[in-house]
Amino acid sequence: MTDHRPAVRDIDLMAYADGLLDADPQRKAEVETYLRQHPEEGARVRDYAAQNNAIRRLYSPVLSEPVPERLRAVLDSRRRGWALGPVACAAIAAGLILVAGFTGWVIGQRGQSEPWSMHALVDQMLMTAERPYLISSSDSNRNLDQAMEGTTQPLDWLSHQIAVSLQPPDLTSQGFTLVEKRLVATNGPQAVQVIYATSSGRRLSLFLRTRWQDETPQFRFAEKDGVTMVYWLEGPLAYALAGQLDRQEMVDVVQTLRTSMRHQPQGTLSQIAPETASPDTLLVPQVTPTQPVPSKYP
Amino acid sequence: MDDLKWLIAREIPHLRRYALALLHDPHAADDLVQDCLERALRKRHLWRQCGSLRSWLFRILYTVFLNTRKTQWRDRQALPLEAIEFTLAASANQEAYVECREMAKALAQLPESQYAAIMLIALEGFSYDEAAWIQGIPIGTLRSRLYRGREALRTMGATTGHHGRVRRIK
Repeated sequence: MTDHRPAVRDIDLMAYADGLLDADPQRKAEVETYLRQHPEEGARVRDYAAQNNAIRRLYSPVLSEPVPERLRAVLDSRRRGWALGPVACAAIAAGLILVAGFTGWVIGQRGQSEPWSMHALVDQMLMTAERPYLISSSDSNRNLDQAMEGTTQPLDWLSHQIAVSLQPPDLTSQGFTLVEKRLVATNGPQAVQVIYATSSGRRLSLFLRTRWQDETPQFRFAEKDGVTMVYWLEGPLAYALAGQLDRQEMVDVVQTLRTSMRHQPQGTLSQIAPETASPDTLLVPQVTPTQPVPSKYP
Repeated sequence: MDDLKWLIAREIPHLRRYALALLHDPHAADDLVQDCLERALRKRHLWRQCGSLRSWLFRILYTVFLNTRKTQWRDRQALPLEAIEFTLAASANQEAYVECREMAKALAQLPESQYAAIMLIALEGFSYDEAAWIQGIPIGTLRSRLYRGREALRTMGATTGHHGRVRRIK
């Protein structure tokens, strides 16, 4: 706090209670010594800390509220209707860390520590009854739907988490059309799953999840039992992509995805995701587990 | 550019919280945050990459608060309880409820300069240097306001003192 290390003063006790001496271990030790010698001052320090705690309890619930649309719109300044302006797209692209789910689980098997657990989510889905659902549309979806959590506005939910609007990328150029969007969760934080399918029934799943750590974005591939997975981080999101494609096809899809997120033309988004036009008041920040999964999106 | 927007977006919940603490009116608080965000984007070239974006945003918020309040907004209401009543009602812990009410009443008695300084430190965990810069005052003034405000709170018995754990919010 000070250069000449004077006797402990009120300001030091205050800084100590505020946790501001953590960066100055020597001064912190001096204050603690002083407090041992002057127990009556300890009450003051405890009071200051208790004040901080009470004030936080008073106002901190605001932090978990969804960010109002009008505030997000400020950062999304060129947004019009449901289309995204270039700035928003860029923010989204940065935000959409494609947790392309492909590779995650192999990485897990290698024993590497993953700061983001997207691979665990995809792995679990592949190992369980989700597997046929993930890669093929030939099976009945009914039971799986009942087993999964979901809401009708998963991307809006995610958008609220990162305070940036999100739209599902357009993969029609690769032959994949949007089939479904839903929230999924295992043991970790929730993710949004966007499912695409070709006319022949081949499926592709894109997973999106927020990430707040600052890991270096990098692509990771994995293959298992004919399913290819890709994981990557970009902006505020983690991405995973999983499907029965070979690696080159997967690379093409990833490139299309990233390009699509950055350069979504205005006017096409409403065709992709008409349901995102629901009023802001209907959006839910949390998933209700009992809520049935919507069957299919147009 | 995009990274900057993302970084700004991350601070929105914290800006809303401090704005609510200043104004005690959720709608006016969001107005304030919106002004702050618009100004930040307009003046993004003024943000020095070496500095803290967080401090810069809070400085803008506080400056807008001081400027617009004179013409547009009423003075701080006597009791901040209304704005946070919903929060208190949601608390199942009766003891915490009482403690929060006491704190809210005591905070309402403080001069605004002391109040704003305390909220900045207690809620957002800024250093005293950062807080002084955000409020545009000398650090000695900031410390003085903090000290006097906190002693006043103690005198009013705003805390029960049994939650002594020191914690920082980043």
